[in-house]
Amino acid sequence: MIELKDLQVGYPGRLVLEHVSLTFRPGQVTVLVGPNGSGKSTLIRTVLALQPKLGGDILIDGAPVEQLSPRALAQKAAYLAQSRNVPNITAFRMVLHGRFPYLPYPRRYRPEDRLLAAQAMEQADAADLADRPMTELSGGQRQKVYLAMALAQDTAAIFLDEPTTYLDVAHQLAVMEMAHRLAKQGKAVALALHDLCLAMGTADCLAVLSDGMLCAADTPEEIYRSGILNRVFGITLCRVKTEKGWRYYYE
Amino acid sequence: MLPVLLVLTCLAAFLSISLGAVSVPPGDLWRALTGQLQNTPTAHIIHYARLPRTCGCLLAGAALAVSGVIIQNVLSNPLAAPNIIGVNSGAGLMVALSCAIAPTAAAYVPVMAFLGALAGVLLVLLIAERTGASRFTLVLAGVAVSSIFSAGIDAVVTFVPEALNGYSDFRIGGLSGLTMARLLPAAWVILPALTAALSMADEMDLLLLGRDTAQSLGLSAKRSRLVLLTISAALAGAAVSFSGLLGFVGLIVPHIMRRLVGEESRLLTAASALGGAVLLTLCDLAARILFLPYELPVGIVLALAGGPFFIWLLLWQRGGRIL
Repeated sequence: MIELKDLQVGYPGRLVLEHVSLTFRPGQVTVLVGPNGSGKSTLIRTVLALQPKLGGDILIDGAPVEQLSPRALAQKAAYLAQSRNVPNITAFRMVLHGRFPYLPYPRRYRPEDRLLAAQAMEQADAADLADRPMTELSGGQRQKVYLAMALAQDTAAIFLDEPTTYLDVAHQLAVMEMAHRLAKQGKAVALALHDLCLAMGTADCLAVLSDGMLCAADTPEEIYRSGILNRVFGITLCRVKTEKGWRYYYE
Repeated sequence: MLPVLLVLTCLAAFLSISLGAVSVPPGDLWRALTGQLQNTPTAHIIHYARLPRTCGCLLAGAALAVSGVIIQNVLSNPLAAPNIIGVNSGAGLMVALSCAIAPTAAAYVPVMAFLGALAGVLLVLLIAERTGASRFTLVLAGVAVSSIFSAGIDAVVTFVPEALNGYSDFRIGGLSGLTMARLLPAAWVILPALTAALSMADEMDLLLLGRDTAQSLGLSAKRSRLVLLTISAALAGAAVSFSGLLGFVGLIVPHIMRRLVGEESRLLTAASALGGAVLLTLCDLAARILFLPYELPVGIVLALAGGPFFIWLLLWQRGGRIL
């Protein structure tokens, strides 16, 4: 479980978000939404100690994040960055590096690491890509490999920053399905998303960031009722009942 | 790929020892190396000229190429290389200074060269960290650092002309007159540093994924970068201490090898070490025998062969990613 208490994030001299109190619960998909520049990525990066917080507390399983070594933190939370490099190495090698936080010294990947990496590729539907160099893969395939790497990390929490960007609709839905599957396994899953309809349809908890603060964090149902998305994004969010539940659209 | 490179390395070393102003047939070479031909001119040539020189080529080529691999990886910049960002010239400046101040202390030259090279990489790293400079600004800053150090070398040579015996050789890069006594201290730096570079291959792979991803996998990116750059400075510094300011090896060998074996760091590092050794040894051989009885500094051959090749590489990869 990851708890944020009165967290302030930003850069020296520029506060991006303040008074953020939010809990990423095991078994839940938490989706962060907000207009461009509202601080979704900055928040995620701060939680993972990739940039220093400006104030408040981040507790990971009860321990302040600053007391964890990078290695210990990497065993608790995985991260799929928004901008991803594409090195000219094989997909399997990439996924294998997801096991890096567990390597004893001298750092050599063990047979069990290879096994777990292979299983992660299986789970991310990327097993057939194992021997291909990353540079030859399509955007969607690279995404799967990166996702498999995060899965190989075998953490209780997983943060995905804009995992659906550059993906076609089928791949977007596949990523959302995966998010749910991971939550069912008991992981705390956090996503930053641009697509409101996708967010409303996926989230167990929707966190709305705007104007330098966390405006609301609640179930999609409550968020819809409060009409807060209409105010924040300047749209009118509507929904229709289908046999699979509510479908959202905006006008 | 690695076995092929290994065979090529052995072949280049064999050619480099047997060919030259006097060619030594394989039979004599074997007898000279096993000590059956003592006190003959052939044995002298092999023990005091060819052997140190060939070992020097192999070591300097491997060291500079691996140094280039590391610098390109850490700065995530395909144009960074020890000779471009001021690592070589930093080492050169310290070599010039130590030769001017204490000409007899040859054993300390590699250490001084390492310190100069370290100053070069740290300056560039500092500029990168402080300004968050783009990859291109970084190379420009490196070029500036390099010019400052080069001016320092020129200043030392102007005031103490005898500091660098055969200054133009040093400037261009050359291995003529290399003795085992000069090579050994550098070898003691290069061999452990190469091993260290290979053992950091996984860290280099993670750095390829970008800083955030590397860090989220539990790598302390700052510390790894520092350690890696120190290794690359040790390699480049030690190589410069006996071979002078050899340019292109550190830039082009990593690029060629990346094409051949990909970017996986353990493979790339090993392949570049062998490739650098082969390239420098063959260029040195050409420098010795092309214009007999005259000998060119190997730096000239390297630039004449490497320059056009690099231009071709750039043209061929137009629009594509190099790193």
